[in-house]
Amino acid sequence: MSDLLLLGVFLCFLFVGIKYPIVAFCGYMWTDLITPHQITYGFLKGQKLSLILAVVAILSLILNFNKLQMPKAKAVFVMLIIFLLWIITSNTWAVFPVIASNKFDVVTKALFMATLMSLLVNTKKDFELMVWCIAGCLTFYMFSAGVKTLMGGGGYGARLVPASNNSGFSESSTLATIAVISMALYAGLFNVKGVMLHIKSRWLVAFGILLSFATVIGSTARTGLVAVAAFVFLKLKHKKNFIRNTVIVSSVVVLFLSFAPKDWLERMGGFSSPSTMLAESSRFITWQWAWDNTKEHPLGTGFRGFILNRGQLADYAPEYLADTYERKMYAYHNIFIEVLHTQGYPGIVIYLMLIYFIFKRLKLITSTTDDSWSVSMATMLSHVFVVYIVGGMFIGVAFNPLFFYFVVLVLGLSKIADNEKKL
Amino acid sequence: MIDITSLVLSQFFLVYLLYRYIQIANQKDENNDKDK
Repeated sequence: MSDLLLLGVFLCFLFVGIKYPIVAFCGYMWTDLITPHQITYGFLKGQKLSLILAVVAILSLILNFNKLQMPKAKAVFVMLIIFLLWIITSNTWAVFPVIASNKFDVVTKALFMATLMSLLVNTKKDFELMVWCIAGCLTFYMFSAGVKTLMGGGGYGARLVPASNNSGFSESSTLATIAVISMALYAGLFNVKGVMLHIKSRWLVAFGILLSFATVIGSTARTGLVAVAAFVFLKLKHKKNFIRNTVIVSSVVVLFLSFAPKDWLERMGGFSSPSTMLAESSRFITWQWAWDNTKEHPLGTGFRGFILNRGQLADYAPEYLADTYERKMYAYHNIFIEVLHTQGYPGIVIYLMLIYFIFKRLKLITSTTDDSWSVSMATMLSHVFVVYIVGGMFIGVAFNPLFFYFVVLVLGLSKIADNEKKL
Repeated sequence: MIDITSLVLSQFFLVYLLYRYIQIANQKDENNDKDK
């Protein structure tokens, strides 16, 4: 039955996308976020849905060539293209080319499609279609994971969402970060008078945020807690009555902690148990190794370069833990370390400049535009990126397609805000 | 059951979005035609 439902959605994106290229690209984005060919068990399993939608999207783009508009945020756009070109270049000297090929495939396609998509997000309806598509796709995960947690499920490593393995959004820490990003989206879209939708119901938004928060709890990932703290700080700092709101939030936290399950508290407390210390140390040790190893590969190792640390981490671990690390390898668990090691010094410079120009553009929009819609969307996106970066300090999501789709939204918003200024 | 419910709700929402997009796009096309 899920196959039929997903086939129906796929066909909607396909046929509508022939006339409206942004719809076809949103369909491609849908295959990236929902992964329909992986979550089903029937005839759709393993089918090349993204390939079909990509072909239709590009054909539709060519047929609607007159609708393309260059983004106003040229620095962001140029950095995006340079990042894509650098990734393609650095892959030629990848240390593990065969192992890297799958991730290289996913990332370059996502970047390529995001670059084209940024030429199509020109009006408020295009922007809202894209942002609500993202919100809808993430809600699929939040509803699944949130309801299961509220019914007593959860735990680190527990499969809260439909997925084939412990990767992507099904991985606990990534799911927790996505949950906080969902909170930022729901809160940002609430009561914004959009052209497509205008969600005025506080209860609906509160329910969405509750499910997202429940997902953070159910994932029992400390990453999520840090991301929630960052999000709460962002929401509080701009509001009047900062002290009153802080007291309310603190009271809610104390109340929650009084009723939270003991094993959840133990996981969050973390530092008192040796296994947690080990988990903590593995990230720090891996970061130290990656920092040093980049000197041997200044132009990057290509994707999955962390495999090089097998048997090397013992040199960075405390003596009493050397045996534990002797034969193990660990992934980066940090977006900046991941980019630094896989793409080298040029790569990390490009990535940091991309992030800098994104925040610069969003700040420009919030400070110079009178259009309240543009200001709301810019504020929402800045919160999303902050949460992404804070969560990304502990998970390797530097090249997740979702990040590039949010960059597309920034590029689209730059055009829309500029057009509003001219009116 | 929860996964199926989540899938149904989210996917119907996405289809509704497409319907709204077409509706607004057609409204804009009609307004442009009237201006001409």
